[in-house]
Amino acid sequence: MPLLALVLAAALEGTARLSIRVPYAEVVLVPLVAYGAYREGTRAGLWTALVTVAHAAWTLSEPGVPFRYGADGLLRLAVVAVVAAFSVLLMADRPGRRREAAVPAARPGDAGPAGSALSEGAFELLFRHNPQPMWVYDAETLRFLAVNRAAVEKYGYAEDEFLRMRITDIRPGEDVPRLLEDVGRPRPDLQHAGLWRHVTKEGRLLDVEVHSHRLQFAGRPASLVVAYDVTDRLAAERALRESEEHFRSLVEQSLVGVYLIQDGVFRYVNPALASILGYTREELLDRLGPKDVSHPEDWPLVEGNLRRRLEGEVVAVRYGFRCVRKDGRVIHVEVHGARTVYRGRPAVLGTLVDVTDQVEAQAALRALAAELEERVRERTAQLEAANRELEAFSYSVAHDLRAPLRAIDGFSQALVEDYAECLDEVGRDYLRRVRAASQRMGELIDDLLQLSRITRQPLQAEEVDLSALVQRIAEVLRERQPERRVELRVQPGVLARADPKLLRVALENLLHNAWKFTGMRQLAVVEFGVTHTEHGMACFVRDNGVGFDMRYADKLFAPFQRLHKPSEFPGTGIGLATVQRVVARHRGRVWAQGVPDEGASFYFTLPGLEVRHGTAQADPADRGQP
Amino acid sequence: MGPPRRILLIEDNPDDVALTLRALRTHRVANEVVVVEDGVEALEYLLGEGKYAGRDLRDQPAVVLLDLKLPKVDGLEVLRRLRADDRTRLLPVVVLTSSKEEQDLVASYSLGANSYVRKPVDFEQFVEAVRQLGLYWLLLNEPPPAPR
Repeated sequence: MPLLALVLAAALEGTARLSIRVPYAEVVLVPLVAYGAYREGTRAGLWTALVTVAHAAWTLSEPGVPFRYGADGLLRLAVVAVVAAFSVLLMADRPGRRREAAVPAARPGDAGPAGSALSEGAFELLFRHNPQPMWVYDAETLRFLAVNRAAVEKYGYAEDEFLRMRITDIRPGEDVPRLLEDVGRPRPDLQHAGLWRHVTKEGRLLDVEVHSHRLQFAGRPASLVVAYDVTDRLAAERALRESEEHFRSLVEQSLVGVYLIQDGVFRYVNPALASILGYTREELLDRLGPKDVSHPEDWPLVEGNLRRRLEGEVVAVRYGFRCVRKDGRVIHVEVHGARTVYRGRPAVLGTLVDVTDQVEAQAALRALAAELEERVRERTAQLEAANRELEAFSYSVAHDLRAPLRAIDGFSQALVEDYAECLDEVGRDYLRRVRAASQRMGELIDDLLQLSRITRQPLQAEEVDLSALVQRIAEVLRERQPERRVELRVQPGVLARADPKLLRVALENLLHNAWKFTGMRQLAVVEFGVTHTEHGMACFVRDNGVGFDMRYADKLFAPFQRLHKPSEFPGTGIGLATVQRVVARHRGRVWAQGVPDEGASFYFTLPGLEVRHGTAQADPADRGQP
Repeated sequence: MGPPRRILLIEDNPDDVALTLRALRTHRVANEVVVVEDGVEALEYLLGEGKYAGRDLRDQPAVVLLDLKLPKVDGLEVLRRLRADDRTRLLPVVVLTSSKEEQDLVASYSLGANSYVRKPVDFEQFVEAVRQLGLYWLLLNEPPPAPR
């Protein structure tokens, strides 16, 4: 505006030189002062006024003598000066005039000279104290023309630093070309927004959303910029996006089928689900629904479960049913679905696993179990049959095998008695041998039957007083051989949980052996008691008889195994085998220790073996005795 | 006292029959011994049926020696039928058999056998057993009154 005044002044001067004197030319410029002040502000107004006054001073000078005035001229100059000054004063404060630093217009396109005018207070509030960083930059030089406090705080530059910088200085170097391209592009819109990266003085990168408005600032095309720091928001969005990507990739690559059902059709399926059902995803999405893939017999169940979830009756449900694949194959699946919201309406989101293999394996397992049970039943029946046969066999042995022996023995005896005179000594010896052999066979049969009876009989365990049993058996043995001197030492109160009949058989055999193998002792000693062994508490039967060589200890308990000649000690060799069977049937163990010519000890364990005190003469070595 | 009452021996093994008879003879048991070889004949004899129809049932043996293993009807069944019939319910029956299987013993006594004797292989023991049987059942035992 001052320039315009200068030009006008020059023009007026030019015309004056051409002797075309404009009357009151000195006031021609005064309206320009008023307009300048109104349009451009006080400073421009004052400059215009200065030009105007200078022009007036020149114009009103005495002709030929510059700056010398007549009284009239001086008055007129004073008037011009006063009017110009008042014009500036009056017009510069008029509402609606353009301010030195324009404030963004409230509406686009409303930033013209007739735009909203703001008081200095409002400007302070809206620009200086605006919590968002704001600045104005020169559209041509890209220099900062004004910055607010928030910008100073955010970017770390002082205001005067800012005003020496260009907007490219707050960008990362690599973004500058794009920025220059952007500001150079003509924009029809006054308002412009964009996402940029800024750098603070400290070098920190900021993600900012920038809104800029074109305006005139101090007479120059400029842009007002509001920068919103969206670094945190973008970071959160990025994190969310990454997390979503993770989940998406999880779902997409999952081996488990994932589906979303709404309105009876699949709205989403992952590749696994499509592959389980044998369709492509495109075939399923928005076209097919659970009804199309469910086994018709299971559809009511599936439909009911879907409905219950959609209606909110249950939040989540897990169950199995059958599906029919595209190729018609029936598969077993297990789903775990939950109610969800998809596009604002209820839907069912769930996972589906193909459990056909497991179901078939289970079925196979059940079939196998059934088959095994059947086999066990068959085996049991076979065993029972075998047992019955064994029973019949034993019964037959008991009855029939003995009858011929009786005949052999009986008629041999009859021969000896009735025809003695026809036989010499040799003949009679032969008959004796026949009888001895048949009697021995009778004993063998009896012992074998006893052995088999021990295996066949059911075990009936009860508390047995072994000490008393030993005493009774010994009495019988004493009566049988009253001439023998046998010292019997029995530890009293030895109890066990056992079958009394079987135990009697075992003890009879052991004591009978002890009696037999001490036959040559002047004083035989037979002991019974309980002792601690490497296999725990065990009963023992000990004698001071002929003993045995430990080398043959393992042969003792096998049937028909004998360590002595029949001429020395008669026997069938079944006795200890019988003992072992009795003990084994009680889940005990039996073993022997012997020294030739010194004696033998037989040990056996039994369930519930204990020594009850309080009865007469306990073993002093026994625990619990005072 | 009338003539010595007879013994009924129910035994299918001819060896055992011969040995038993010899043992009785050895001990001078003069009683008549009737031998039947199977269960059916034994029942017919004792109950007066079949080929023994019309036999005087008041003339029952003093003792019945019963083997368990018999053809046709076995010893235990004979015993059961005898005990089920009023005419023979009280008849002394001694089971004389090879077996000493517990099942045989239990079954015999529960069916009402008066005695159970095992035939030993040793002939001398056998003779002794028969002697004692004869002594007891023929001399000492007072038989039940004859059925009317």
